[in-house]
Amino acid sequence: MIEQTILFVTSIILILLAMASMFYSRNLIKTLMSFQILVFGINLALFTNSVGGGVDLLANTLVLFSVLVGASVETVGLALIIQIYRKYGTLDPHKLRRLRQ
Amino acid sequence: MSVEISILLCIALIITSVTSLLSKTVSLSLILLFYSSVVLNIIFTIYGAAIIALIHLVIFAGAISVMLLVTIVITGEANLSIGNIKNYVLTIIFIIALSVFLGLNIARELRASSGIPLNGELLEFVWTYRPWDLLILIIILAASMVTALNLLSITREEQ
Repeated sequence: MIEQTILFVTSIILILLAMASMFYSRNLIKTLMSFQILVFGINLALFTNSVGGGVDLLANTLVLFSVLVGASVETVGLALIIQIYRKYGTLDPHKLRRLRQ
Repeated sequence: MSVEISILLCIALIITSVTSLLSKTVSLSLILLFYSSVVLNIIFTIYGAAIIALIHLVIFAGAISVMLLVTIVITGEANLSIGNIKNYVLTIIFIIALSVFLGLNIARELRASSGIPLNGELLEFVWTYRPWDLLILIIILAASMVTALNLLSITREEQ
């Protein structure tokens, strides 16, 4: 049971760290890396339920779903970043906001 | 599985993630993100979810890392600025303290409810609709691939 607590605390640390990094980030690539760490934290939190009580199929199903949806979102995000760079020539969200106005 | 190994792996996961987010060099950040993914896969493997670990490794440490690398090469970004680093470090310390407090409290609640057996109807529901679940996953993946290809394609006007 102590292992479940350790994993759960780790997952909360990862989720909050990634959210803070997304807030402070000045680069869209960094924001996407933060999103990836957010997905890691969510996967670990979903997986924590199955620790200690054998293999939990429900937790495994949820993690699989989360992994694939996270990967899809990240793929689209990377493609959008390339398009934004082609159009505006920068990846800084503050500069992008100024360029749009 | 001994608790010490779990603690070591969790510390390694947090350190690689934080260093990856703090690093200003693109290559270092990407390598540390890869290591972070590998450590998470080791955690999955030692707790008996080898298939999830394999899928996670293939997708995040493999495909997504390569796509991130390609994006970095195309955009030519060598410096990943994260703004004011002092504020960010202070936020990290605050977050770790808050997470330990929150995590311990929530884990206590989880422990109290863990004695209740899982509802059989829920598992039956998940198992009955498993093909639909897989179909939705395939549709999401296909849609993301089509969107990415569409966004990456160069039109005649751009050429």
